Amino acid sequence: MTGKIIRAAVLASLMGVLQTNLLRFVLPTLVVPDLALIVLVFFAHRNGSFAGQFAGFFTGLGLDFLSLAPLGFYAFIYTVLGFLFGLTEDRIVLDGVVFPFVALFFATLIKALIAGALAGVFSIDTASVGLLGARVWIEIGLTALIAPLLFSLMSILGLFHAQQRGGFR
Amino acid sequence: MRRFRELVRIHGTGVSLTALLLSAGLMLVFQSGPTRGGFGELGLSVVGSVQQSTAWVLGGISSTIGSVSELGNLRSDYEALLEQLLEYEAAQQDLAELRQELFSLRELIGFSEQLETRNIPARVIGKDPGNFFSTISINKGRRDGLRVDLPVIAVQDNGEGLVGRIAHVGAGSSIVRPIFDSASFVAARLQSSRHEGLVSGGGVGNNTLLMRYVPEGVRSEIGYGNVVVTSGMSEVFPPGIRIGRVQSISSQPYETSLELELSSVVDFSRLEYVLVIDHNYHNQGASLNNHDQTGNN
Repeated sequence: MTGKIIRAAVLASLMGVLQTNLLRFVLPTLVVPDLALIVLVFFAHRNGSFAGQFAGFFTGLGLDFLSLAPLGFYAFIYTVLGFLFGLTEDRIVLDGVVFPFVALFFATLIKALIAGALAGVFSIDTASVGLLGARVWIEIGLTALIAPLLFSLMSILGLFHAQQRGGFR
Repeated sequence: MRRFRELVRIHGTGVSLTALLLSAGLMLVFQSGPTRGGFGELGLSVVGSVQQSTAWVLGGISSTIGSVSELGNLRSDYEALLEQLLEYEAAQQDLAELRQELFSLRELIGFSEQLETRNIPARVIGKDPGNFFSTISINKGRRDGLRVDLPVIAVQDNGEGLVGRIAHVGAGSSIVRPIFDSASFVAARLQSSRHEGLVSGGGVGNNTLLMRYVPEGVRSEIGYGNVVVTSGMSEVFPPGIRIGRVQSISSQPYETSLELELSSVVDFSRLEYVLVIDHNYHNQGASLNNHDQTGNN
């Protein structure tokens, strides 16, 4: 399990790194989709809340290092999201399009809500976290649209499969 | 102890969730001030090196594609440059005379101050991983001599403009706080009328800047398009670096100062290369061995 969590955190952080440079080339907009969150939600859905929250914490910490955000900002957000989307394990069947779209729509929305709450509680004035702004909704749309593609890719590559439970042979 | 272990066994997920959130919360509480300490620097060094590698690969791919498309323009560029060269040769002769005159005049008035400013060129390798902050990452860090609060400028359209200041430093990469960040404040003055004020950023997604504390009485001396430069009143930014141009002028009836909205002279959407200025270089007794990085301003 530890190895799996580390792999998930490394892959999600790598996606976070790609968000900082690759996506800025591909999408010359001010807003980029959250690829790290897509990987995290996929992993948490397959492996449950326990693994999801650890992967979320380390992914968030990786993003904190690359950002002007105070340390712990992204770590807090992604830990909560890893936990929440781990609750969907064994409860919602993973399909190709609808689940990734809906899950990432809500995950990005919840991310914005938690970011707003953290910015308020810890007086982080430099964060642009307004839910009414267009930026948040563009990010939600972009992330939800890309999620089915990335989910399919990770399924094809067989990443983060949950361990087979024992049974009759 | 046994009860604690039992608790962890039964409520493992809840206990670890609480522990992780508490860790993140404590980091948020204690992480304040201009630096993040050793842990933050170590993290930036590790993750920053990965970011640098991906930026290097992407830069290689992008420049290969770019150079293929630029081949077609080379002929016309060559001819235009040839014409420019002839003009510059003529100007060079005038310049040599002027330089000689300047040296003589300096000698005459006993001008002895030598501004030894080190310019460290750096490439922009990334922006914020999320969309909440105005981060700009560059590929130079502590081992290149960068420190927190060093000013960062960019040269665009044949002129220099202020980009921001170094906020966090890793071993091989650094994070810049741009002037449009809402936590950025720069002591500034109007280049023509010399009136002073304080320029602050509008935050992420808002590239306009706001200059406050300009006396209301000088309104007639300020025009649209006037250039605002750093005043040098703070220790961070040397004087004379262009910040922006006046876009609009407003004042509140209950205030005695003007608010000038500025458009930044730097176009942040096409920012690729920057220069980090170490203007206190000569004060630190540092050796000047690194001649390739040293320029006189």
